[in-house]
Amino acid sequence: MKINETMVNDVLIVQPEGRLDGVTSPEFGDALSAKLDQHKAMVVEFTDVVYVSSAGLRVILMAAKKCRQTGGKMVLCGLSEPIHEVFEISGFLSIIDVRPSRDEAVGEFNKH
Amino acid sequence: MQKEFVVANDIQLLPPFAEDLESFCDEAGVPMNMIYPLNLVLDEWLTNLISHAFHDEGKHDIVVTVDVGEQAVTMTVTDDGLPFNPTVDAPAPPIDGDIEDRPIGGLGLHLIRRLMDGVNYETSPAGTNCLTLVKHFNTPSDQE
Repeated sequence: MKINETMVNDVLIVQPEGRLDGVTSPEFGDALSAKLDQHKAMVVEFTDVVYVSSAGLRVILMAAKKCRQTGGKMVLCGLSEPIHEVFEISGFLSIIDVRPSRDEAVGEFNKH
Repeated sequence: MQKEFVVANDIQLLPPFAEDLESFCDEAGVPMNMIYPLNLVLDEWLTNLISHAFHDEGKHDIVVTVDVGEQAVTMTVTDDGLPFNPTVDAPAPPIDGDIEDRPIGGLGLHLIRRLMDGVNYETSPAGTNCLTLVKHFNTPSDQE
């Protein structure tokens, strides 16, 4: 799976492309975990993600747990409506910071 | 409109199956906001079957039927693997509480139960299992 990366104000923007399903999620999970070892501030942008199944949710939950343990911070943005609904009914919106746009997600790191 | 799909027990076949399903649903006039949940629940169930239901190394065909009616879409999934009834054998995962309290896993079956209006599971004496999934058009759950 293709994963684009950009740095914005010391925040790493990780932008996966395509489907986060049982086929692609293990690879994405490994990549995300490796990036969290190097970066304590990360935005995962979903603009180019067309589909998320429970396998994708699992990867996000594992990353969120890792952040909790290591003192990192992860904010999600750019979720399409059906993907946002999947996060909502899985109860993820109360444990994971989800913002509409990249700017708002990056803005979360400037708050003190 | 009705269609039957046959998918072998290989997880790599699920993305192309999702495309076929989407094309058929689109052709049958299923609204876009319903296609995602239909695709998702079939993906979750087929992934589950492929990962857990077959303990031999052999190829197994899983038969999926999709029937787009006037009031609902009815889907059936028939397999010849180990029986597992998602309506009784799977505890609901906690979906509140702190990050540490959330288990890794169990969400797929939760999504199936939440996104469908009807879930029924039957095993036949011949050793096949059939999951029936029903989603009504324009039910309140669509507008949630």
